Amino acid sequence: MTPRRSALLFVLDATGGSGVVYRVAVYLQHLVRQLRTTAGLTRRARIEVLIADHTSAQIVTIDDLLTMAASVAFDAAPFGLHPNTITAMVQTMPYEGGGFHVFFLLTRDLAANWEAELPALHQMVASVTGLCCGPLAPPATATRLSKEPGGTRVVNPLDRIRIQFDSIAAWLSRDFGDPPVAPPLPDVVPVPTGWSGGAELPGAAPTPPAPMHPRPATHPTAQWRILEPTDRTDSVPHSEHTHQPGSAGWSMIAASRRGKLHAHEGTYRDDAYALGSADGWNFIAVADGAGSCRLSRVGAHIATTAAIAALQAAATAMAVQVALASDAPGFPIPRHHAQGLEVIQQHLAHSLHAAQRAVEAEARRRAIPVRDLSSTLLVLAHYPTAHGDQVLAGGQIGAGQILLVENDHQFRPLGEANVGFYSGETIFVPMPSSSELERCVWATWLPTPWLVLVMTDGIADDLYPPARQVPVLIQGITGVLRAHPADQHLLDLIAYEKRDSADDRTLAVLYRPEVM
Amino acid sequence: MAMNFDESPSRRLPVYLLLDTSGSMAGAPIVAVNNGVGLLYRELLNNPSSVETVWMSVITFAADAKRQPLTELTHFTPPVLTAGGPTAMGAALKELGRALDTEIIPNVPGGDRKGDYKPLAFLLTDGVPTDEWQTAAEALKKRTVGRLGTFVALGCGDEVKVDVLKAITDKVLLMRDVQGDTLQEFFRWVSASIKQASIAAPRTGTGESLTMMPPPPPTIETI
Repeated sequence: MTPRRSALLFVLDATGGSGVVYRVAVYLQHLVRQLRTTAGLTRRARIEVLIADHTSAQIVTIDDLLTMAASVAFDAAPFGLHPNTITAMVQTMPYEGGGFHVFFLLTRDLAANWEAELPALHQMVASVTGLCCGPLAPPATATRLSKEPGGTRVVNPLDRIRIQFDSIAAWLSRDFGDPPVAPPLPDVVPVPTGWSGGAELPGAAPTPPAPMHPRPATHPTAQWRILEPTDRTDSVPHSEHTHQPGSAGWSMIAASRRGKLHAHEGTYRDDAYALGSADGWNFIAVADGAGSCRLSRVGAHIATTAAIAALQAAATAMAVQVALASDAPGFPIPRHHAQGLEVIQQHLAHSLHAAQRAVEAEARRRAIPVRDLSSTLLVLAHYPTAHGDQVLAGGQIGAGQILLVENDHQFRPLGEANVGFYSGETIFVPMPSSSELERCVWATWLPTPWLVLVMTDGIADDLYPPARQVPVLIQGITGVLRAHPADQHLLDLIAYEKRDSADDRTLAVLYRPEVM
Repeated sequence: MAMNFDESPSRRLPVYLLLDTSGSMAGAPIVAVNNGVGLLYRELLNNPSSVETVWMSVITFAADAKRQPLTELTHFTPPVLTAGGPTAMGAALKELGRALDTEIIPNVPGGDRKGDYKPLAFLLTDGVPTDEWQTAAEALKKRTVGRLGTFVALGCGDEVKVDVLKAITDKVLLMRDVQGDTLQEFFRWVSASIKQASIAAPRTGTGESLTMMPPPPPTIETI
């Protein structure tokens, strides 16, 4: 028979500003660790830590608590926490036969109309303890919120929080832990008290006992988690795939999937792609939203769709330029190839401009800094002429790769990624100047390629050393293109496991179905 | 359908700990630092992103500086530190500069492997340098390539000279009331900072996000 377990839910109110939230998080982490080492407690109660604001609540691991507290609480939020986020969360949590005991660590007053939610919450849980952490949290609110046996605790000034938490730890250990039989073995060496820094302790041993640092026998216990985002604003699917017939017998497939880091943190995929064709041209755009920017997934989507729209609008003019430059019979004015390519390059630069303008317009519409929408952008334009040769043109802002594949073992990169001295440094849309944009584009005449691949750095960074890894990718793609539906298989293909490969992955392939 | 890429060398997030092991650290302080390094190690091992990217090096300084080479977290063994001797902080800074010159792998266009992420360094001391430190400190500040992403100096207690630390780095923290618990909080904060950097690192960025750190615990002042 499965033993009954209660649930101890510690709700950290993230709305009170970084200073107080972080301080409370430090003590909360200590408290939970203390409880977890209490003999028998986790047999009788599971412990959950939630970070919550006025719209959402999220379960966090104790190891990530400080990082999360720091990242969610830089500024005081416009509204306080609303208990309905917790009621909703409790409803979704497993019930193991014991009661729910909720501890609200309030860092400011609750959101308006919070009392309407109170009866539902009180009915659902065994106890509610309200702790006022800091001067912005009114004791009257905590009192009203509380339901015995925890009661209300006021921790102001914050320096007293440890005392309150110790008292809670003692109460929970008594109620949920085993009766004490022997003290648990410490995993650290006890530190003598009284160190004031600088001065040597009188009588202190010159060589202290060596601490034990148990090393994991096999691999560390760290596990990647798969979490859903709690904030559903501007949601995007965790994966997508598309097949699109192109011009002149060519075809395009693309697939994109959320990386391990986003899944671990419960955030959305930041990569995006768009495909298009018009007047004999095939177009591909992929983008990777900047990891440090809040709405970069929105920027990545806008940048790719705006670039493709701009290229489609210019397709006729670009086709005329290619025809003029290719000295085709029927065109009376012979032109040098390079001249035609300059104009094509200008159209590519224009598509990057268009992406930039669209991102800036979105930032104005949302009244947010344009930096919040930052992403890389890679654009490919392909035009097969009637004579069998092709124009390939591209533009690249930031990391990622466009790869020309001539056969199953010959390949070469087209264009150049803008990367810095260190990994993780690159540039983004929006870029500072037009002249820089013009340096990001290229165009070339080529015999018929076998495949052209456009990818974000989530895949490109896994292709080192290229001589060994790219053939593996080409072999995989060849298999995908012979299967049906190819785009679905491409999505499966990019789900490979690799150490140090945790970013979103997006790959688009331009190919001719008849030669596959 | 699956691909099996070779296990090629990972991109590394180098982390340097510069730890004062001079005589004034003997007794309780060195026990606390030993515990802190162990705590840091265990915390990082619980974070998958850190496990896959973090490489650690410990540079201790007393009569001279000793550097443990940059080591993958899963192969890292926290050293057992003992205290005694003067405070050769200048030698430690010089050793850090040497490590950045010889251990860091940069991105090379067309290269066969990806370069390192921006390195992080944390210095902990409770005293003043007893050797010439200005030259090495200035050299670190003046680096144009292979710069540190973040360099944090923590001064412990009343003996420490804040001016010296400010001359070494812009990010100076001060722990006036130094106890075993407060030092544990510092190492927890170091761990949170490294975890944050290891999460930011693989994501596309300007590299700035690696230098953003959580606010330090309440027992530590930012100078």
